[in-house]
Amino acid sequence: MEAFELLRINLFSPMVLAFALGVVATGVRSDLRFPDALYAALSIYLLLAIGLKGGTALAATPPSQLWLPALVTMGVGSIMPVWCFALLRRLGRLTVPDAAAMAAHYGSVSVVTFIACQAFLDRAGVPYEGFMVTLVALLEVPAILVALLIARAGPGAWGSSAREVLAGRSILLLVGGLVIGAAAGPAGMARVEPFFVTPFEGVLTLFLLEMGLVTARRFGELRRIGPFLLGFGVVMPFLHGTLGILLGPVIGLSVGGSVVLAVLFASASYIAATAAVRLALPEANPSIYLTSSLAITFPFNLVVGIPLYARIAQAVWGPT
Amino acid sequence: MSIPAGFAERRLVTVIAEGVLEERLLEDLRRWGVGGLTASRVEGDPLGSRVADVAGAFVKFECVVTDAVADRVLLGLAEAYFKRFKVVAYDHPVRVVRPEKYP
Repeated sequence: MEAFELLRINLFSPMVLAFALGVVATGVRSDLRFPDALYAALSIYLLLAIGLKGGTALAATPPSQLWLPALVTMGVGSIMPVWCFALLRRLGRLTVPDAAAMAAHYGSVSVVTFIACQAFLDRAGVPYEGFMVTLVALLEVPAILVALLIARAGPGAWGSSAREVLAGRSILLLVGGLVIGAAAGPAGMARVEPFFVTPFEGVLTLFLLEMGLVTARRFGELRRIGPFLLGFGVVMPFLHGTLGILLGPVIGLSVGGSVVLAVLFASASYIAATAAVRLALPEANPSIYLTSSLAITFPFNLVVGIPLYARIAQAVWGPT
Repeated sequence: MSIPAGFAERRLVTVIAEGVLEERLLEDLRRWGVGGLTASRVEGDPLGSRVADVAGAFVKFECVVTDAVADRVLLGLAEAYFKRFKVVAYDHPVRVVRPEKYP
């Protein structure tokens, strides 16, 4: 599929347009606000829904197809924060806490970007492995722990952060959904399909409207974080995404699966990593890591990155 | 001025902190002697840092305690939290009935 067509499919989707509406709403100082409870409810729905869908696919996946992608994902997830930290210290001249906080975010994963990627591939008619959500759950945690280790946040901080992330909403709902989906199987899933499958893209659209509001609130900070971090927020995701594309078929994934892997590596957390870092590295400046992951990397991946990685994957590995 | 019979003086301690601190603060408040308390979610943005974007706005705890417990809470917060997190804490005197409920 041509690059322009991929970009058009993405840009003119209700999800990306809703995100843009949220950005515009903040820009014109609209009084549009999402109640906290609604945001929480939407994120619970999305996390559980993709967990359930992934669990059903996981149950039908032989372990021989899964073990290598899982191992490689965890390995890359553990190494990414190390080279991010080194780059941020050497070239970016960030302090240790700030570099470690950034490394935690860019080594971890954005579940929302993953969901948006799946929705894009569905619209573009590109098949991908159903078990990819398992890799999301595996990628969420290692980078955060490695980054805290690098920052020498202290054994107490490490332990409480591990508990915080593992018991946090994202992991609990993803892993729980996987288990429920796998145990219930296709017959069980068919019973909840009218709630968890049919309205899914509508809920995602609403959620991305809120994400647009939140993201745009941080645009004012872009002036303060400097050109290096501005560039880092785009270049690192692109490089990580390219790594995912190159690795995908090598570890047994389809071209569509390699696009998803690219998006997982390219995305930056702004929920799980942020909460863990705030507790364990309070000296790190939230303006730096939140602005980078939320105001630069998230919109880049959502609007440009996803179709870009898809085009590159097709150019490298051929059409799906 | 003397206190009417059945009333007693206590202190209402209010703590407003980043949402991520909720569990940790709750443990510390209990350790410092706070019994009953109320917790609510509040919005705000101290010093323009936008830390509220981090997982869950701010949490506000309010508790009615004795002078001794109020002192422990404020001093404990100053030592453990003020330097590293966005936390605001203050107290003021209140009158209560059933003082045995606020040891």
